[in-house]
Amino acid sequence: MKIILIILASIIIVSLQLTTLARLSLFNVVPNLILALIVAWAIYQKDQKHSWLILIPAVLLDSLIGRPFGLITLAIWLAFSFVGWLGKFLFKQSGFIPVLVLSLSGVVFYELIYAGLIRLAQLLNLNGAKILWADFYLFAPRAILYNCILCLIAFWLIKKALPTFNKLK
Amino acid sequence: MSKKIFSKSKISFFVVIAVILLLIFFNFKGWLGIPKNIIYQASSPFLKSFQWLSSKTVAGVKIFTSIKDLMVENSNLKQENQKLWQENSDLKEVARENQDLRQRLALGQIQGRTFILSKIIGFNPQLGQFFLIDKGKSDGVSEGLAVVTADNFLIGKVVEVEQYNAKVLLISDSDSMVNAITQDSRVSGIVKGTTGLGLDMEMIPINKEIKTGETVLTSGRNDNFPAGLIIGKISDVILKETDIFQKAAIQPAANFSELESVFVIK
Repeated sequence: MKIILIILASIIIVSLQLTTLARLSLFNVVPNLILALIVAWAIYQKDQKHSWLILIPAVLLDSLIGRPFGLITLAIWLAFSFVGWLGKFLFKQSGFIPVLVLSLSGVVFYELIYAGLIRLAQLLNLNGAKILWADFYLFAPRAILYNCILCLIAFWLIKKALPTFNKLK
Repeated sequence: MSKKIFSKSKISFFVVIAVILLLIFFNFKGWLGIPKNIIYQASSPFLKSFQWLSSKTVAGVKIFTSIKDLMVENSNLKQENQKLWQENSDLKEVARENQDLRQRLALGQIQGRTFILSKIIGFNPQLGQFFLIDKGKSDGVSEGLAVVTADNFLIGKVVEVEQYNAKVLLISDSDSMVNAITQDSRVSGIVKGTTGLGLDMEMIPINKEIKTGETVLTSGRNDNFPAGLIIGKISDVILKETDIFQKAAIQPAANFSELESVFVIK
C-alpha cells in the first residue's frame, strides 16, 4: 500500500515539477520541488530508513527530462546522503537553526555536485551535457535561496503529514 | 552497535550508487527505452492535466494583472493593425510577383514539408532547457528535426526520441547553435543560447552593418533547419574594436514559457 502511494505521489510531484512549477519561475529560477522534498526528508528521517525510496521520484524526473540520463538521480542521492550524514553526526539537535543549516547545506551541495557532474559528462562528451559557468554563478545563488525556502516549507509539511502516513499499512 | 549501523548505511550508499551507474550504462546502451515509455505512459495523464490546469490558471491571473495595460495596448494594436494591413497588401503583391517569377524560371514549388502538431507536456528550464512533447517515433518524429510555433517562430530541435514522446532542445540552451541570417542586411552568423532564455548572434564580421530591430531568420545552411524560420529580433549590437567579430543580442520571437503546442517540421 505504502509503496503504491509513494509511486503515485512521485508521479504527481514530478508532473507538477515539469508543468506548474516551470511557470512559477522567479528571476528566471524554477523551484526544485523534488530536491526540496528529498532534502527535507533527509533532515526529518535521520536514521535514513528505506532511503532507496528517494530514487523513485529522482529516476522519474530523470527519465522524463534529464539529459544525460542519471545525473539528476546521482546528484540527488549524494545530496540526500550528505544531509543524512550531517544530521547524524554534526547537527543532532532539532530546532530551526539546525534545520536551516541542513537545508542550506543540502541545496548548496546539490547545486555544486550537479554542476560538477555535468562538467564531468561534458568532458566525457556525453550528449546534452554542457554547463555555462556564467549562467551557474548568476543563477545558482538564486536557486539556492529559492530551494532552501521551499525545503523549509517541505520539512514543516513532512513533519505534519508523515505521522499520519506512517499509520498506514 | 553504532559501528554496525554506520557500515550498513555505508553499504546501502554504495549499492545505490552502483545501481544508478548501472542505469546510466543501460541508458547509454539504449536498453531503457521500454521502462522510459512505461514511465511516460504512467505520467502522461498527470502531465497533460497539470499542463492544462496551469495554463488556464496563468491565463486567468494574467487577465487581472493586465487590465491596466489593456487600453494602451489596444490603441497600439490598432495602429499596428493598420500598418500590417498595408504591409499585407504589399506582400500579396510581392507573392504574386514571386509566383510569376518562379514559373518563368521553372524553379517549381518549394519542397513540401509535413508539420506534426505536438502538445508540450513538460518544461523545466533549470534542468536543461528542454520541452517534453507528446509525439515520438510512432508519429514519425526523429532526431534533428526543427520545432516551430504556429507562427513559424523557431523553438528548437528534437534531440531525443522515444516511442511516444520526444525531447526538444530549446534554441536558448547554451548547447544550441543555429545558422542564421538577418532579414534586411543579409548578414550571416550563429545564434546561440545565453543566460536564462536569452539568445546571442555571434560570428558576425566586424565590417558588416546590422541594426537593432532587424529580424533574424534561419539561413538553412549546414543544419537541419529549413531557411526562413523566424528566430527573433536584434535588441542590441555589441561591438568591440579589439574583436574580429561583432555580436548581437536577440530577443526571441517565441515566448518559451507560455507555449502550449508546437509543430515538428518533417
